[in-house]
Amino acid sequence: MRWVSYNIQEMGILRYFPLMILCIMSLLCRNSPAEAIVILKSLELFLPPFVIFWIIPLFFNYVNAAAREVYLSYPCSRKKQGILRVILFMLLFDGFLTAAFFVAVRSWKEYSLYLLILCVQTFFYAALGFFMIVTTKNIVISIGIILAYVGLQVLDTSHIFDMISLRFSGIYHGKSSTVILKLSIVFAISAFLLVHAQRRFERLEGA
Amino acid sequence: MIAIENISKCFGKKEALKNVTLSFQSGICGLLGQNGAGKTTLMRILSTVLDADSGTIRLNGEVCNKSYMRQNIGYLPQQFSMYKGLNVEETLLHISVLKNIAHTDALAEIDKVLDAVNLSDRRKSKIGSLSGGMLRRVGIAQALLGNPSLLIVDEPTAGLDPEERLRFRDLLSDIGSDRMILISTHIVEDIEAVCDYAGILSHGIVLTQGTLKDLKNTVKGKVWEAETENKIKPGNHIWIVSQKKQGRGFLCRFISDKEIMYGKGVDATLEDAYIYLNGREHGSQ
Repeated sequence: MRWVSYNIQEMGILRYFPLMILCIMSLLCRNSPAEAIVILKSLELFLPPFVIFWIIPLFFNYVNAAAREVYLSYPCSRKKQGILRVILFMLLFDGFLTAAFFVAVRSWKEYSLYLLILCVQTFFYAALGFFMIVTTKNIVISIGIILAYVGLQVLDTSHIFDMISLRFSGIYHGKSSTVILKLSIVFAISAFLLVHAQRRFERLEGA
Repeated sequence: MIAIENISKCFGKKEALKNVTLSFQSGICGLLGQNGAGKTTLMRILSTVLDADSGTIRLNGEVCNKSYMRQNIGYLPQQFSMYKGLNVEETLLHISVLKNIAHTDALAEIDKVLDAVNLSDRRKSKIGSLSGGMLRRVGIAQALLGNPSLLIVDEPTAGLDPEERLRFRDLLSDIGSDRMILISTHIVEDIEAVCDYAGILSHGIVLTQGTLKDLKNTVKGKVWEAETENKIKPGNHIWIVSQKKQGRGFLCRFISDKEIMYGKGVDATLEDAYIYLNGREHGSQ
C-alpha cells in the first residue's frame, strides 16, 4: 500500500479529478432522487473516462525521458509496474463509484445493472488510457485522444457511430441479452487493449 | 568483476557498438570516449534499459540475464530526474519498493545512503528544490539502495559547476572503496581523478583498456612541448594537444610518433594517450 500512496502523491492535482466528479454525481442524485436515473444516464458517457486521470499519471515517470531509464533498471517486475497497477487503480475507482452509488440512489438494487455497465466502461477507459500512454509516450496526446473519443460519442446524437460507441442508454431498457452482449464485447476489447498495452510496456526501452 | 563480451548494437543502419569486449576487475573503472562513441549505449545495455543485439555480460563470473543484472546493479543515468513534488525521503522510499526492499530495512538503508552522499539534512527537502549537484547525489543515493555490487554511472559530472564536480568525484572515490563502479565520461580529468582502470571507446569500438599507467605508457616518449613563433599545423603522425599563446609565440604541446628535432619531451598524461589513440585509429589530428 505504500507504493499506492506514493503513486497517488505523484499524480499531483489530477488525483482529485475522479473523486470530485463522483462526489458531484452523488450529490446531484441525492438532492433530486426523482431525477436520479436521468442524471445517471446523462453522466454515462462522462463518469467512466475520469479513470484516466489516475491511470495516465501512473506512468509520468515512464514517459519522462530523464526518469524512464532509471525506472526501467529496477528489479520490480514490469507486470507489477504496469498491468497490476492499472487494475489496482481501476478497482479503486470502481470502489469509489460503488460508494457514490450508495449515496446517490436509495434503492440501488434497481440500478445494479447500471453500476455494472459503468464498471465495464471504466475498465475500457483504464485499458485505453494505459494503451495510449505506452503507445504515444505523451500525456497530453493520450488524454486528448481519449477526450476526443468521448466527445465524438457525446456529439453523435444521430447514432451514426453506434458501432464504436460505449453508449448503453439506448438499449438499457431493452432486452437484457442485448445489454449483456454489448457488455461482453466491450469487456473483451478492453481485455485485449490491456494485454496489448502490457506487452508494449514490457518492450519499453530507454529514451 | 564485470566482463563484457562481443556486445553489438545497431540503431537502424548505424552501428553504435561493434563487438565491444571489455573486462574490469574491481574498484572504480572508467569508460572514456567522445560524444557519440557509444558509451551511453553500453551503459544502457549494462543497466538492462536497452537490449544488445548480440554478446554476453558476466558479472562476478556469471552470465547475466536481465533479472540478475537488475538485482545487482545501481544505475545513475546521464539525465536524472524524479517527481518534483516528493521529498528526498519519500522518493527513496518509493524507489526502495521498486527495488524490492522490505519496508523495515528500507528506512535503515535510506539513513545509510543519505549519510554516504551527505544529504541527511535534506531528507525532507522537495526534489524540485535541490540544486543540480544535490540531485546527482540523490541519484547516487537511489543507485546505492539495495547495496548493489556494481554501480553504473553515466556522465556523472556533466552540467555540474567546478565545486560540485570536485565534491562529486570525492563522493565516487568514497563509495568506490567497497564496491565496483563503472563510470562513463568524455571528461578525461574525471577518469584521472577517480579511476583505477579505464577503457577508451571510439565510434563503437574499444581502442584500448588497462590501468591508467598502461594507458599513459602507450604514449610515453611521444609527447613534446615546443615554443614556436606560429601555431603548429597537424600533419602526418603529429597530433596537437594544446597551443597556448605565450609572449609573441605559442607554447605547443603535441604528440609525435617520430623523433622530433625541436622541443623537449614531457611526461604523458591520460589526455595525451586519449588524443593519440583516437587520432591514430581514425586519422584525425
